[in-house]
Amino acid sequence: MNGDVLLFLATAVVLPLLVTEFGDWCPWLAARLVRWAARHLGDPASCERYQEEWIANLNEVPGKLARLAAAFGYLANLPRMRLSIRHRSGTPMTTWAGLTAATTAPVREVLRAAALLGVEFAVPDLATVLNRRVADLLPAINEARAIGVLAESGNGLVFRHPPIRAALYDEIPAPVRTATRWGTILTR
Amino acid sequence: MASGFRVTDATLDVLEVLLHGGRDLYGLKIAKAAGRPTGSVFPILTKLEGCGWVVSEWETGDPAARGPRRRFYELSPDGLVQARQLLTERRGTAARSRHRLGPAPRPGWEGSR
Repeated sequence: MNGDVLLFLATAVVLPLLVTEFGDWCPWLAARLVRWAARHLGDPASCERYQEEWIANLNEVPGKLARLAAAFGYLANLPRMRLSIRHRSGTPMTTWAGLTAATTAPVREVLRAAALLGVEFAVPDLATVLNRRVADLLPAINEARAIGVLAESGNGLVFRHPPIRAALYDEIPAPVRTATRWGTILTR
Repeated sequence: MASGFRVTDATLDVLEVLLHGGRDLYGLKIAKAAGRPTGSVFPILTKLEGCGWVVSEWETGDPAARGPRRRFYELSPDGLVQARQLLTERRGTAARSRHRLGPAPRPGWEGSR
């Protein structure tokens, strides 16, 4: 009798409860897996970008188990993703057409201001030129680093391909260049 | 044709979707249209982005209203030419055929960037 009752309890009560519980945990687990995978992509800009992008995509996958399967898909492709990112950030942006295609207008605005400061520049100086906080510039800087326009150099940043900096500099009207230069010097 | 990266069947599938998939293409939508797992299309998109064939931007709108943002992908003007050429070389045609694709691109969108 005891065996039958236990079997009944296991199949009619415990098992359905476990299945329901597992189903409820799936979306949470999937999001955790995707965030973990994104955090292991290598460079901070990519970690931030893909974490948001992948979670947005994951939220649209219908079904709890399907969501978990999708999360394992991101995890399985982590090595390939890391390789692609390394390839992308290891390739300096060398053409104006490439730059304009790969960047948004706000990023180019930040890059133009950086071009005023020279091939190498300090981030606080860039913030002064733009009259913005350093923290506000980080998304644009990270994007420019991720696509190979800027790289770290000592305590500052450097244009990886000086002709790109020159092209950005040439885009700025001469009076603006002079005025901004003086403004930067006076506020130092 | 020198693409600067290894061109696989999956790469061609993704390029085909980008070429014919219409507007507002994001990872999941591209993966569905290409018939590939979502996780596998992102390395391809990243590679294409690194080569300047693809450009991407965050969706606009109130992020507080909808949570994490999607990122939209499209071919750059250069990528458009290269993708057409590559697909014609490898598959004989750049025309849509294999996938369930969305509406055709707006007239004139190719030169919008």
